[in-house]
Amino acid sequence: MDIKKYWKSYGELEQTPEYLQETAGEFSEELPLEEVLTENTLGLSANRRDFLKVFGFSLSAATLAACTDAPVRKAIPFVEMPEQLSPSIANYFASSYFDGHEYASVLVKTREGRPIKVDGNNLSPISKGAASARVQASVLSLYDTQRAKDPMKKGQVISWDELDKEVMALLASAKSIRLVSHSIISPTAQAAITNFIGKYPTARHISYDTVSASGILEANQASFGKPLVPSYKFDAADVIVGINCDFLGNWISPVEFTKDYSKNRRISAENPKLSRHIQFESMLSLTGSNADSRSVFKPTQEGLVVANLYNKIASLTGAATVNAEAFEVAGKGIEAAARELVAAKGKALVVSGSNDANVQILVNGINQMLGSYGTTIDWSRPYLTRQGMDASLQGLIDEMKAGQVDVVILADVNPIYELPQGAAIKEAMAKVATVVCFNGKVDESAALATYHAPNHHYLESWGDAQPKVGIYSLSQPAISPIFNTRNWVESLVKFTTGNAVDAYDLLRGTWSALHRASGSVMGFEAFWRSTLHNGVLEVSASGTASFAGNVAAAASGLMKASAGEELFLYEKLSLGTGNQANNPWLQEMPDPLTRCTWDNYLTISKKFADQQNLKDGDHVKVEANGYSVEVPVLILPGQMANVFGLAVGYGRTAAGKAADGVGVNAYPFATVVGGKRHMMAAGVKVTKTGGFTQLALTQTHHTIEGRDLVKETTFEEYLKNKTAGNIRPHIAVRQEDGSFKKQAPATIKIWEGHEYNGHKWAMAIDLNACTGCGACVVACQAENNVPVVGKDEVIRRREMHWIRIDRYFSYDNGYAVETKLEHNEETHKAEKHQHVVKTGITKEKDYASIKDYENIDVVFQPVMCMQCNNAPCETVCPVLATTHSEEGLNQMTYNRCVGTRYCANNCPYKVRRFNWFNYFHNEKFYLNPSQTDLGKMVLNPDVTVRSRGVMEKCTFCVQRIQGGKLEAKRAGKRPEDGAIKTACQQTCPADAIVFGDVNDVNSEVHKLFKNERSYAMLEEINVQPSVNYLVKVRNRKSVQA
Amino acid sequence: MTYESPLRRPLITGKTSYKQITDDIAGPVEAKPTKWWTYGFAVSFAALCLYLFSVGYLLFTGVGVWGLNKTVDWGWDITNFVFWVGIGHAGTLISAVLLLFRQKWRTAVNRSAEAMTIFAVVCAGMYPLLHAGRPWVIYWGLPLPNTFGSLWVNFNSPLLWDIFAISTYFSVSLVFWYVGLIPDIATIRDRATGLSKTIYGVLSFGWNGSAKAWSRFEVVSLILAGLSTPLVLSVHTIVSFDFATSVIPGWHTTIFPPYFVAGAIFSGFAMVLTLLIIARKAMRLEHLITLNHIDVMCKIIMVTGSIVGSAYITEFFIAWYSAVEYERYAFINRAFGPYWWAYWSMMTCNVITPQLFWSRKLRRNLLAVFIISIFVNIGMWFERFVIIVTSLHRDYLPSSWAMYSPTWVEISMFVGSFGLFFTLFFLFAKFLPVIAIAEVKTVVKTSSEEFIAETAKKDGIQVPIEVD
Repeated sequence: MDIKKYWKSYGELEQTPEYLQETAGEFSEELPLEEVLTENTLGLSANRRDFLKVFGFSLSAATLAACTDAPVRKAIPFVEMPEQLSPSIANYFASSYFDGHEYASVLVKTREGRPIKVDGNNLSPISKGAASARVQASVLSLYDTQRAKDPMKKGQVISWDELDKEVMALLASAKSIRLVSHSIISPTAQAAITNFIGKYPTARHISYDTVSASGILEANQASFGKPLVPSYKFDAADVIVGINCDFLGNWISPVEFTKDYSKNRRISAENPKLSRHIQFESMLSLTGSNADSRSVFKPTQEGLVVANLYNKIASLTGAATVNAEAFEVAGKGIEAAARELVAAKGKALVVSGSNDANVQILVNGINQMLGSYGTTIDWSRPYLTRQGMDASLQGLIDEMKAGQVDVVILADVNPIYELPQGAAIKEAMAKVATVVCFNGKVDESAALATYHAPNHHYLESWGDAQPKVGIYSLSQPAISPIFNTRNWVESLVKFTTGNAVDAYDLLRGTWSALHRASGSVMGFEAFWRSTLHNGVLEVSASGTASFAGNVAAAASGLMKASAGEELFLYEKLSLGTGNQANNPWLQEMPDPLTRCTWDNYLTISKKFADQQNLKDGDHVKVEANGYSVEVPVLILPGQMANVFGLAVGYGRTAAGKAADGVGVNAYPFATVVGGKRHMMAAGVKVTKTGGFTQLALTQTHHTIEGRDLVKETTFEEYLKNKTAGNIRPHIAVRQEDGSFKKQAPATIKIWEGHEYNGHKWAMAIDLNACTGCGACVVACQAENNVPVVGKDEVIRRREMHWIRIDRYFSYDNGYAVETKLEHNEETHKAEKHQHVVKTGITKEKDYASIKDYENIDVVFQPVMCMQCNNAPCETVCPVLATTHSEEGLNQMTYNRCVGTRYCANNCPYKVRRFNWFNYFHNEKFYLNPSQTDLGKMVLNPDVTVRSRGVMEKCTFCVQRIQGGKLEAKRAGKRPEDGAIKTACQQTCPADAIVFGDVNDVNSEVHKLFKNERSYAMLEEINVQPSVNYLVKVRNRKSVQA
Repeated sequence: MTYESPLRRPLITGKTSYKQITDDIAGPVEAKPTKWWTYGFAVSFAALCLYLFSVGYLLFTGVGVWGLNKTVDWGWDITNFVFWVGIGHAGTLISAVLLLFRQKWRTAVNRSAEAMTIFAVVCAGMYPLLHAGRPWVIYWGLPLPNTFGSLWVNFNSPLLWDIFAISTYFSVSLVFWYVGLIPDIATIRDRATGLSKTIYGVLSFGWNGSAKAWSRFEVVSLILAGLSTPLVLSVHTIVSFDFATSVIPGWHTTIFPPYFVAGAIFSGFAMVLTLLIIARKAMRLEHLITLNHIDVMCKIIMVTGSIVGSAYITEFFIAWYSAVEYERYAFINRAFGPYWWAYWSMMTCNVITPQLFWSRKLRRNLLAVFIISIFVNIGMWFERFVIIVTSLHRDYLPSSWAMYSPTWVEISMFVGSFGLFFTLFFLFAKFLPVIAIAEVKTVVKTSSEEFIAETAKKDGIQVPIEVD
């Protein structure tokens, strides 16, 4: 039986053509979508998806266009969406970082109003787009739950009004006021201090630097009449000699120096030039590990090294020598260095990290003889980041001790912790009636303050900086203050004038003067906006200085070398002076050399370890300068048997849960002579105590086992043959006629490869440029929400970093004659050839035969996911959680992962990281920032926070790739080369990492892949990684006598 | 009726009859549990509780409670998995391959060997499930139609093959074992009363002992035996692919499939021996599980042990011959690296001890056999540990080299997995006949000591029958 049908119209009944046409679509009338979306303004023929993309992009474009404006200065609730804030669109603000030690001009990335990443500012002549690990990590310090939250009086919360009233009353009646700060590079703060002193004539300003450069300042005062640190041009120097000077790590302006230094290390066929770097040092530093030649000496022999170098150069150049005991390091290193320096006159540079003015005068004398002033040393733009004179600090301590000071104002300084005189200061401060403290935390010094007026974090404040003469930069807040804090400059002005002022207005005041001085043709508003947008301002500066130092007097005043055991104090790349010690990213960042996290330790030589029967982690008691600590030891090659190293920055007691109780405080060991602080100690006693601490090392095997993972050659060989050291593996393949033919591994296929028709993302890493500083590790952690797992888990070898820097030592055992069988291409016979080879020991089985633990070579190799074309991880995943993208990426689908870990086992590079626990919820990992509400704010919303039980790894910052592609698509073109940068690449001070599309023949990475030095690690297993390395070239060549 | 030469060793010693056999085997099922059973069960159950506790802790906290790390991502978990799978090998071999080869001596041991197989596979199967980071979604490893879009499994992954191999093996073994049990359950049903009668009645699927039933039984047994035979080879072959198809030196080896299969039979027989030596004593089944049975199994251990030993030596030779430095290092590191003790334990237990079975005296010395079987079990556990951990802990990049040691959770899970195994085994021994009653009865008239003596007498042959 037919089913009854009802019809709505005759049309339906008849199925007329009109009816059919009308009912064909969802709507009876044609929607004008096409027209709307193909308007000329958009120029796109778009479907619904494209419409959404365009929609998103117009938002982002509008936002980016609006970026030039300063951010809102008051907190605005999100019910009223601020114009600049568009969900999912990042805003960038230029700002400045200065912690009293390190300066950086930065770009702050904010999302939905919260800063999530700090990078170097491209426009800054100092940062040049790069940022150190500490600058990278500074964004996390903003969200430190243990920052000071309110103004306090003796530990009790009071209101700002009360605090201001009481402090002003005390200041008015004070007979002697001392304002203590680090070097002030902010013109606005300087003006505020000047005004403060004007209002309170009994006030004096004392500045000090945690790691003092007072020696340089005094020496330059004596030699040039200028108590400043000049600019050093490492890029202009062909021969660089560093004497206990970690200029790539921590000295003065390391990021800037690394940028310059690496320019002459990125050797290429077009520019076959390589600087020569000789380092004399007491313990292995980052700089020393990058040197072409390296010699060791004891810390107190510093004067001898410099004086002898002076004399050798003087006798070569015909200048007068000074009186100094003859001294030479092993291998006649001083003699050789002198010859090379003289040969490179005008393109030579000698730097010393000493805080002894006499040493620095001699160094000035050397540079004078070498003609470095005006060529490699520039007096036109001296640094203002080091202004602290040790003597004035000592004066303050004496005054306080004598009870002559009523009010001490601590402006973001922590003298009790960070000075060797800390204990004395603590004692002396007890005699000061009122201590006003501006520190951002209730730290060791702030705990003693009568009034605590907590300062903003720099990402919350307005400010400015003049790190070098004529180079200015602005700080602008990227977020409203999180806690009830106040910019310390505002506090100071309030104390001075009694009126509440805004730092913003103060700043504009200072800068209107600067505007006039700069001679800018723009009006002030335009000038202000452009400077705020760019973050930096350069005004012309000039200046020369002529040397008038008394080297003979300096030589006679040198510190005497001691005979006994000595301690060398150093800063780590991670914690530095320790002011950011409560930053878990920094605590978990492996030290480039020791690969140790979450601790400081006494570095000892192998010889000493054998003598005292010590192994890594054994406790020793270290006694020197009336101070002693118990600390674990760590055997580090490259230092003498009677020299020990200990990092400062640890042993905090009031910094927060991540820092307190980690390591020991090393500052009190520093030798103070007449107030001058020397980061060393003589007459050290080290005794084994029997205790043991497991050190959290991320790498426990320190040699490369003779494997061809890091390829290297010498400059001499490179000049002869550009592919020197780059021996590529071949596989003998049987041909049809039965003969064998050598083939490159990539030509052998067992399955059809992937096709990359569009992009093919790849990365090239220049091992000659990479200094191993580790900034990339923290940058990656910030970009990709990499969890912090804590010391215990690192000990279990479960650190989560997506990029690591492998460090291998090879022990130099001199030269030996080796007989090798070589294939003679003409006769097709094997022939015996004798070669003189350098016997670098790299194998565990040869350890026993190591003669010399001091003379070592170090290589650094950044390793992240290689995004293999034939990825071993992809084939083994049972659920297809890791797959190959059309653009050559190994995609990791966290949601799909069941956690078999087969992929990690099958990864030859061991770059995959597993979420063993729920790091963002399990209470054991309370140090992981994402465990607190505040810490969660640092998470990058573009990157998933991985749950327990899934695998994760480097994705080449796929979120950035997608962002860059969308932007390019909108512009209707391919992404420009260099427009998409991975986080590691962006922050790299050495520009060692180049990322891009190898399918683009004009791209930098394509060119580097074609470079003669380019190679794939483990090429023979034919996984075809998308990361290529460039052979390391050491400049072993030395000038013949 | 087949004719057995009187020269063959008897498979049943002493005087026996069909009734006697039924009584002997069904007796323990019907009687109250013995004191020894109760103690044994209590200990096993305690260990099972430890297992459950550890597993609960693991599931609650995460795989991080184990000692694994970024370099060694598999440790005791997969070691134990392969160990248990290996143990589960003898059951199928005895029931299927020996059935097809008409090896009648299998009748006394096949039932418990099969049960052992199933329980061992249960223990093994728990590891891939529990080792996963997110076990609650492990079913994504099955090619199920799903609501997640076109998500499918990766047929390239040996782990997926594993899932198929193990589940097939488990289901076929279970069916084979159960089908074999049906006539015996019916026997118990017929002797039981009350509730037991009902339960065994249901379990016996209405077996009536008719000629038709027997005929179908025989056919099904043969079909299942035919199905199972390739599984004996396939399961461990596929398990070995987990390693053999990888790029890790020490794993990437074509020798793995035969070597793993031999090793599995080796360890499976060792475990069968360990259990049977205890069971025949505890359950007084010496006349059914005779020294001849043990002797034959010792020979299989010796042969498979020698295969395994040759494989070890071949691996070393090939590592040297390949001239691949990573491969060479992997093997030198096995023998002389930080885990040397594991390697030499393996070599001693697996290569040296089975060679003792060349001696007939030792093959018939129960204590010696028992000790050697334990040694083989230990050695085979170490073999898996050596392959997995020592290959992983030092692979290509020395920067990532790491050491691995288990935590209490891994140890208690391993100890606890024996609890699971023995709890199941004790329950089996109490509630089901540990020897195939029907099958043993088929050899009474051909291979029992009594019958052989009769035949000999009838044929006038002087037979030196041994009475051990």
